Amino acid sequence: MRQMVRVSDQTINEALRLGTSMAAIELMIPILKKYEIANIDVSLDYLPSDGVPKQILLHPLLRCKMHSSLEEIAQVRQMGFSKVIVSWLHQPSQSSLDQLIDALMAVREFAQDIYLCIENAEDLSIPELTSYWPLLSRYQVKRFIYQDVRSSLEPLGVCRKLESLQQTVPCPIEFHGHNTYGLATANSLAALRSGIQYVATAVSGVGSPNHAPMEEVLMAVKHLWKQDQVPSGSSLTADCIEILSYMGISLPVDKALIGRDVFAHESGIHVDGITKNPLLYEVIQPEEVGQTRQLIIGKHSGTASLKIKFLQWNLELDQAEALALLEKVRRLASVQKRPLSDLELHQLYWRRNQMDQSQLG
Amino acid sequence: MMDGKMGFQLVDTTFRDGEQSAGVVFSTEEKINMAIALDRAGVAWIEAGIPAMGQEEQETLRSLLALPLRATLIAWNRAELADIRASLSCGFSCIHISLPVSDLHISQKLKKDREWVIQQLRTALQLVQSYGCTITVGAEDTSRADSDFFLKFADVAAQYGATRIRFADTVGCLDPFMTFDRLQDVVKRCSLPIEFHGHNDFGLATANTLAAFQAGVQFASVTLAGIGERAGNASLEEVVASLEKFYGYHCGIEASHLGSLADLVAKASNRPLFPYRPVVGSVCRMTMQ
Repeated sequence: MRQMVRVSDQTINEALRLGTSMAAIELMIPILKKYEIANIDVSLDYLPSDGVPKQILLHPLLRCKMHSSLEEIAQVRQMGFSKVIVSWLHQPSQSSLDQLIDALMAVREFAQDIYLCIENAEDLSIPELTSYWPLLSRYQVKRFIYQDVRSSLEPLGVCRKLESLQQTVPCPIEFHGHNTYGLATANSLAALRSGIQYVATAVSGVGSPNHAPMEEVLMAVKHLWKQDQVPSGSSLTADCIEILSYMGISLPVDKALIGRDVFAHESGIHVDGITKNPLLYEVIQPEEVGQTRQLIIGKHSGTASLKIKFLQWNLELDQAEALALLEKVRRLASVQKRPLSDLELHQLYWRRNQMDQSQLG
Repeated sequence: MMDGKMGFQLVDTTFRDGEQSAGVVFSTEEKINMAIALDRAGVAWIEAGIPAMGQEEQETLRSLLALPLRATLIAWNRAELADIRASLSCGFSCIHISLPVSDLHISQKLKKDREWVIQQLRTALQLVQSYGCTITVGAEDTSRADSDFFLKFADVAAQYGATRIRFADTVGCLDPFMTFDRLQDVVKRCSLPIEFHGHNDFGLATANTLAAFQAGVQFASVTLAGIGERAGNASLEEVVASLEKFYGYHCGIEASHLGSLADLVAKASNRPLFPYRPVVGSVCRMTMQ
């Protein structure tokens, strides 16, 4: 029933918008390719008119997205693209599709693969969308891209609409969601659930407007839906961080799956549980996304955390010692408004022991 | 399918589940400022913290209780008498009691059985009830638990006058379709109103919360900027904005306050907002204008 997920990358396009160097972009592409990328979409608007090296322009995964003016089409043709997305904003007042038809005819002359994207597809009724179907067959459009440019859909609606469209559409559909309201991952999963195979994503959801985070869509399919043909995530965190670093973007520490702290545990109840069985508080193992589990000692620690931490240093704390230390830990964490480093923890422990000894002496 | 429109309220747990995220510590002053801001924005329920954490925490909680807020402050407790006594002595009149309901948690974390959980709940609720407090009950790890046991647990809570039961997706293992199906089933059979509590491990917490709303739950837990354990909780801003955008539902929280609320928690947690963050990231604030 469910097919393989293939993603159309939007990360490189955001890199272009931000003015990332071509040298950096060349380094980003091979990393992305590890994740079953079907296409790398680049907007003509963001491509510098010169200075794009041929090896990037002619990369087999690259797909150029442009509007329907003949001027833009000539430019795309001259640059040498063979995969072209004709992007179209449906307007209710439009009486004719002549401009779109002219564009498709012109692109057909040189492009190997043509894609038609309706940016505001979510605004259209099923009959309105169906009126585009004859064009898809006539111009041998490879895939119809259903874009939700204003983030106007929620998952149950996406699934319903796309299931219905797939009954009549003459070519495969691709879903291009956006994340203004935080629903893009869920909407992409809804599209996949409806039988669609291609979805637009970007590393950590970058883009303007933003996208479904690639890592979330892939890992949700792999781990929540148990589809093991999805590429391994064993270097996912490092790969995403490297890609973003070329763009000058740093990740939030709590970014799902790849943030620095998403496998860091501090609260007493959680650390106690994680030590007994990581599955108690982790839905996937950190190694599955290339991370490691961390034990943080701070305001919310419990005595169990302290005992576990000190056992790693071959020091066994009894309950009374742990309780006394815990109070100091909590106080220090509150004062400095952050957790304790290993060094600070050691200092608290040894200072106390020294005081005990001096009192004895 | 839109049963949720009958009444749906958010419970903010920024101070409890939010501050529990590794490395985050809010000062008393920051909590006071955030509590006032949440209250002004129209948040009706604030899970204020865990009195059992110690004296310092209790002092902070007392200063929150002293604020002239319309919102109800809730104390979070394990089902242990000492924890509950700490909450009572702080002066809380709304008490939350939490116990796990999945066999995984019961057997591996507590090393007990279902019968013990029910008995523990009874003992805890008896104490709270004798003080005439408002009671809410949390069922940890419900998403991996047997629905029938969850319902039995809710029945016991109802016997002691609990006003709602929290369905916690503790590890964030649901997608919106599973959430809708699970919640639609339990909403029909549950003796108490349900509060959905989602986590964001796969980036689905907001979507799951909306699915729970559509399935007819009456409450949901959220935090500012989605701050919380691991990848966090459902974010208040995303849930509020989505409810208005997709269902035309106003849950009582003013959308115009969302940006400044997120800024407050970003500063207090020392976690700057990601520019691409939904609703409140700088890229989104521009798109939404």
